[in-house]
Amino acid sequence: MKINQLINHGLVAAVMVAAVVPAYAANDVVRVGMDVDAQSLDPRTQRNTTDVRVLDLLYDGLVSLDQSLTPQPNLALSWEQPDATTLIFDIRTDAKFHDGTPVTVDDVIYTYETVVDPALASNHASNLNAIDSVTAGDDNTVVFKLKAPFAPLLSYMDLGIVPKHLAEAGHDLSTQPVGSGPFTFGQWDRGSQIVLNANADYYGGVSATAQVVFVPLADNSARAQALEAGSLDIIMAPLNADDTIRLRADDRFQSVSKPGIKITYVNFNTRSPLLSDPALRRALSMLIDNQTIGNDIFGGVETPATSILMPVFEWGYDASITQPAFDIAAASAALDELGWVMGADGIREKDGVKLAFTLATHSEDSARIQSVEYIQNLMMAAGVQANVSISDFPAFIGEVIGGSYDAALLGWDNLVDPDVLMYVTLHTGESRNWGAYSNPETDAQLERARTAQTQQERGEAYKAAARLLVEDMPYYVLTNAGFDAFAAADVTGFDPDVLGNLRSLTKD
Amino acid sequence: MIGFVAKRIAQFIPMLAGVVVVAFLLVQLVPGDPARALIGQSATPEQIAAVRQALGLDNPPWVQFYNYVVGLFHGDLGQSYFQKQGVFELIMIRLPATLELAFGAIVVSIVIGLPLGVVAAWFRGTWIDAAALVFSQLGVALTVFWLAIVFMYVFAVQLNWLPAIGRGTPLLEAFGLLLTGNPQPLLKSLSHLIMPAVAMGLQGAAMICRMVRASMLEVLDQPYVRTARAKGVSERRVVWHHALRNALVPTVTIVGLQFGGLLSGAVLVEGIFGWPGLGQLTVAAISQRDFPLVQGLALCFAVLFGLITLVTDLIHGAIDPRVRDE
Repeated sequence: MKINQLINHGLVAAVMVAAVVPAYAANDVVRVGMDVDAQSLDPRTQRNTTDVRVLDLLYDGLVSLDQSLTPQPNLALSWEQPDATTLIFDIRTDAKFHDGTPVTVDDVIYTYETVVDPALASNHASNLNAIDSVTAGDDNTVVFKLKAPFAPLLSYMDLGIVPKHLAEAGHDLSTQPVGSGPFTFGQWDRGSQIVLNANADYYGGVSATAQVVFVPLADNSARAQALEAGSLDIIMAPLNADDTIRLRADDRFQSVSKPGIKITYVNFNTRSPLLSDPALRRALSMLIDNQTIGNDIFGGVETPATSILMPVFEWGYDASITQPAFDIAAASAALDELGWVMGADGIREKDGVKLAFTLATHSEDSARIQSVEYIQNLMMAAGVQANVSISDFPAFIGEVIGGSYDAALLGWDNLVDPDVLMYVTLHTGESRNWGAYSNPETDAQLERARTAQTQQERGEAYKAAARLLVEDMPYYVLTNAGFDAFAAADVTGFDPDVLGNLRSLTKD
Repeated sequence: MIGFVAKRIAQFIPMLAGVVVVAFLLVQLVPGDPARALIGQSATPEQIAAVRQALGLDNPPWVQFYNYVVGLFHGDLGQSYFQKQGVFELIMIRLPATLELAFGAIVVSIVIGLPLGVVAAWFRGTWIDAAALVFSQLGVALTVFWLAIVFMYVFAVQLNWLPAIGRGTPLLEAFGLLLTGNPQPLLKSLSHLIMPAVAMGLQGAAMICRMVRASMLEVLDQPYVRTARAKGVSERRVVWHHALRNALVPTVTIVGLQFGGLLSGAVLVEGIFGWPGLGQLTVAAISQRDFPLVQGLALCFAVLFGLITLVTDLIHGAIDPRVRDE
């Protein structure tokens, strides 16, 4: 063939190919580094943060939480609340599971009925306890009836909807997930990778990222280095403070730094004879320097907290409500007043009992270990003996949950609503109130916050509760953790929300 | 020889029985509840109790032990609490990766340690000898963990010569592909293997270097070597044929002993390089209190170690006639 003809044919072919081949994906593969492997890919039995992030791409819920944690339509086109105990969702008709079957009202009902089944031992069950019944309404709607008004409920309804026909047939969704989300399940090589591929039939349009691979890599430093070496495209918290600071300053990487939904705090066991007195807890709190802990030990990655109120929930935050300030002299004076006399060995005592207790934390986070050692030193200056106890997380948490501890330094994560942080943990008799704190006035405020119908009233209730809590001090909240994530420069659509979810990758 | 092997394998049984008992006792004694690890901090006491019952943890320890041993006799290592798969399958899936890493580390230690020890002995007293000794001191002192992070930083992050994490195609498969004319998978596999293998192998290299140097010097001073030289045997033959053969015996011993250290080194190194082997599995199993998996891994390591010791002894017999005649 002559050259001219060849070029002509070539041009024609190129035009034909361009017309036929769909627009290329903005990202071909995005490799996301995680600290642990996933445990369950069934949204009802999600156990760790990797599960949450993978599930967010595989499944759709009735709603999805946006960057400000406000529920937005997802499988539900809209919803209404005719009265305080009824919630009606209008379900879209164009959503399909990855096996091609449509998502129906029956799947929604099935998901919400089975998630509270004790056999599944779901972490969501306690959040969804307020639901009395779920039934089909007219015209593709689902009607939720509540046992009592429960304001935070909508924040928990991003729970992924599962395919009833597969689950009932015995299909194990936790290892072979089938959802209706923007990505389908490719493969799971345990401990190595989870591969997700773009869902070509997604109702919201095909994802701009063709493939997402989650890679578990336990060591925080190794994960940061892998990003720098180009072996990973995205990494996010948990990260070491040094790596976070270095990567923030590195122009080669995109970075996202937001107020997080996690706190680090000291949990006082009010059952312990020594720590049962709120006045003593207040005095001990004056010996904790959370400014240095947040700014120096955590390198500013976690910001010092003012109280149990979290700044990320602006409607429920008041910076003027503060825990006892760090002041060794004031603490010493307070302890003197409570009758704790300085002994010859530098430890205070009263009625033959030394002012000594155990301050425990777990071994996996070096910043937390440094924090307890620092607190120990500060307390020594005022004649208080804090004995440090470190063990690995399962052993540590077993003791805390079992109530056999004095003071423990740990954290709470995934706090999508102040209710998650405060109700089940500080209300009398609730399942996560490990320190056995009880104050009927605080209970009343927490209940009010749950049942109030306006965000403003909820905010007032939480502020009132916080004022009581800074008097009682069952918790000393050290820091509000930030959320940090980093990505290689060529990743488009990098905008994780504070939960670490990566739906933004679906858009260019 | 068959008798020798059979006798050694028979000795396995009481050793494995001991490992089973000790592993079981240790997991029972260590605080921490697998049910709680399984369903998280937010679980209610009722949920925990239900999970404990489902896992058989509400039985008294001796019942749990009895059930476990009965399972063992049926060849059943139990089900992992967390991964919903048989322990045996989980181990067999990950074992090749760890063996590949251990093999790589052993090759590195021999390839670096043996020639270095020979050269040090040959050039004894010179700066070459001194350099080799310094290397062997460093090799023993530097920890595997530190080496791993430093290698990753230098070769992956700064120089970008090697991939930071992961494993390529399994080596055996890659060799097969090489034979069909495709060298790419093998090159890729080696590029993933080299950093973890060197990090793990340097300590062994240092030890081998010292041992080889010492045994060679011991031989080179012997009367029969002087006789051989007097007879006109070339220096090269003296070193490589006579002296080196002597040095191989302790080398084999060190490699055998090294293997145990490699298995524990793998626990650290696999986590850093994202190498999908037994080491990572062990760390996860212990921190999750996945009892059947921990016990299964303990048994697996015991069996591996026993087999390596057996192979080491057989090789000893092959290269040292004095041992054989016992």
